[in-house]
Amino acid sequence: MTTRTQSGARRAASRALALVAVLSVWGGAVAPLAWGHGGPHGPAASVRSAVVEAEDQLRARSARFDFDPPRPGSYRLPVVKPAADGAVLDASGRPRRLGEVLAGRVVVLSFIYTRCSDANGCPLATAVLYQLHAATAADPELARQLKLVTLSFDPGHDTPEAMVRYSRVAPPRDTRSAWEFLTTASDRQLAPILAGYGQRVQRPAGAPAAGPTHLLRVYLIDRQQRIRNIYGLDFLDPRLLLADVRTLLQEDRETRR
Amino acid sequence: MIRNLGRNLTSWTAAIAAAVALVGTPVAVRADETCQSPYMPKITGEEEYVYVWTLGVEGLGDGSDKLVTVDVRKGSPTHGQVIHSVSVGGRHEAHHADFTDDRRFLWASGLDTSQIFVFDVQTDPAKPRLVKTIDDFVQVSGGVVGPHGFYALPGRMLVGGLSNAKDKTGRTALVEYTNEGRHIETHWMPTDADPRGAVIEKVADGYGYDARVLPRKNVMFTTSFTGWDNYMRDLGQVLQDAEAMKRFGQTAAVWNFHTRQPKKVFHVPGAPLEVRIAWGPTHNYAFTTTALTSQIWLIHEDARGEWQAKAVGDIGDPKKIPLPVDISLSADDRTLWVDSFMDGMVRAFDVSDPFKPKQMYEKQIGRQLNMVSQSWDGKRLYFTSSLIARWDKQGADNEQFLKAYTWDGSELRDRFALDFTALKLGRPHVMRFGSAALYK
Repeated sequence: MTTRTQSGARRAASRALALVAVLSVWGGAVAPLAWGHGGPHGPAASVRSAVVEAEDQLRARSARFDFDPPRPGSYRLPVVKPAADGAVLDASGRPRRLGEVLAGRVVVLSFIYTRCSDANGCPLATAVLYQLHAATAADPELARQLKLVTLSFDPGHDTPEAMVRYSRVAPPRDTRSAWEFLTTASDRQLAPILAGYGQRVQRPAGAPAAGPTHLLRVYLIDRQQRIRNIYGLDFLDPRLLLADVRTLLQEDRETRR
Repeated sequence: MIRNLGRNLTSWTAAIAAAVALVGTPVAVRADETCQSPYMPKITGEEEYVYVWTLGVEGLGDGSDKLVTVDVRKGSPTHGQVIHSVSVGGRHEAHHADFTDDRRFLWASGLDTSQIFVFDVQTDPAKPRLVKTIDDFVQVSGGVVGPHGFYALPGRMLVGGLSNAKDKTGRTALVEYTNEGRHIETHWMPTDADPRGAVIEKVADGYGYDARVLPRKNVMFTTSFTGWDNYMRDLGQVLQDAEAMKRFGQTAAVWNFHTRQPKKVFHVPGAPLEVRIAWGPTHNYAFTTTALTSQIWLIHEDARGEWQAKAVGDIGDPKKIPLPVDISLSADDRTLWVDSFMDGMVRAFDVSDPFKPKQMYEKQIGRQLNMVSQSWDGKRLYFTSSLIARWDKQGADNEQFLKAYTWDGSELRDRFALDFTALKLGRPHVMRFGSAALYK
């Protein structure tokens, strides 16, 4: 008998798709080249084109998300629980507190490990964050108020250097939101963070090279560092995330009045 | 190819978009119990344990509600036997139970005392441990009584209530908790006085029972039963009390799940109970059955994208009130199993055309019958007998059992049966599947 977690359930069937996603995301020299050297049309044209595509995706229904997203501010997002703090390392290797990283903005936090080859796992989460990131290019207010955070739960493999490589998914900041790529110094430092968020990670016994299995989780965190929504595979719709982010920003504006 | 993709941001974006689009049609490889929250990890082989949330009976064994583990591992020397039971102390009207989204914990409730018992099923899946008791459900929820169903959401549990502290009728709410047991929010069911934006077909009684989500359409379906004043009373008295009989649910509702806002309240008379949502990627429908009117109802999306509810078939002879209770939809959406309490029958309907269910099989499982659980491959079915302590039959008809069968497509064949009275356990109610392999 075999069992798999939700994110690992379709691993074999989706290996080829995962490769596309992972390599697209990883593609080392990819994004900086495109953003740094725009060619005959210049970077602005590339940006506009990317934004248009991302925005199109953010409007469209799909077989997976066959509904129209709710209008931001037309609903409430209850406080789920406090967002846990903990010791992390940023991509330069500098020790920081997670609470410090979260401070001051609405945050979308995604737990990943860079070796993940499950197309319904980490590559999908990173692709969705990429879509949010692209959307902020056309919305300066959103870009100022939102931060994306990708945090590895595989510190043995995901060193700060590995996170730098992985971070190349994010084009250099121009008009887009901040996007930080973090890891931790050890499993010991990581454990209380995972426990605080309820991010389940298992390391298969006897197969350390296989990488951890996990439930796909993305968290929406408000400026008071409280979790306001938790997304799994079935609701990781960038349109929903964007609606939720904008709902929190509208809530902030109303609170300030 | 990857390098070429990488040299153009637009193409690179498109590649990610394509990957996202492609992974949107995953291949399901599961063999778990059907009819569970889609948010949980799934057993991909056979179930190893069946957890049975069991009502205590005064003078029988320790007299307490308990979680019973039945070993169903192939080749196990204790296959088909009770291998563990953990009592919670006292009788609380044990009813439903279900797992958290990480499947490490099983939440089980008492309809009478409104307590919620949380069992650790990860540490030793054969021997669940009671690790937490939530005993302030009524207070923190704002007066909801009778925590009933549990539905795993990412990081949370959605708890459907049956009643309220104010008048003990079926007016109730959905209550959300974190997996750690902290109350998040209470959503009262829409009523005529406070429809909360919902379109009302005929009446909004505010009653509740089941709550299930179809993420692909961002909808949640709820149904309606009755309140503490009826379910804690002798069934014979209730049936003879015309006023009490008016206090049964007659609605089902469709909600915008993400916003938790009710969209429409359907008129479904006769206490619609369990909701079973089809699994097919284009099957935009769900079944429910009505306890008092013995009908199968289909909640479906029409060609205009509007949700509708329609009676599509009878269960047995409705005039004889067979009292349909639990139902189970096969993973291929072709077979709907329907238990009925009064005649102890299970009926299988071919629901390939969901608008035209056709009964294709029936069998009497016992003198009374309530819950049914089936494996993902449709080959193994489990049945239990108890409805509610004061509604179960009396004397010799009060059989209390778990019976296991295999289904070969045409006949239910005996696997094993357990007499919960002879074993001094109590009245077995809901069943949930467990497996140690989930945690390795």
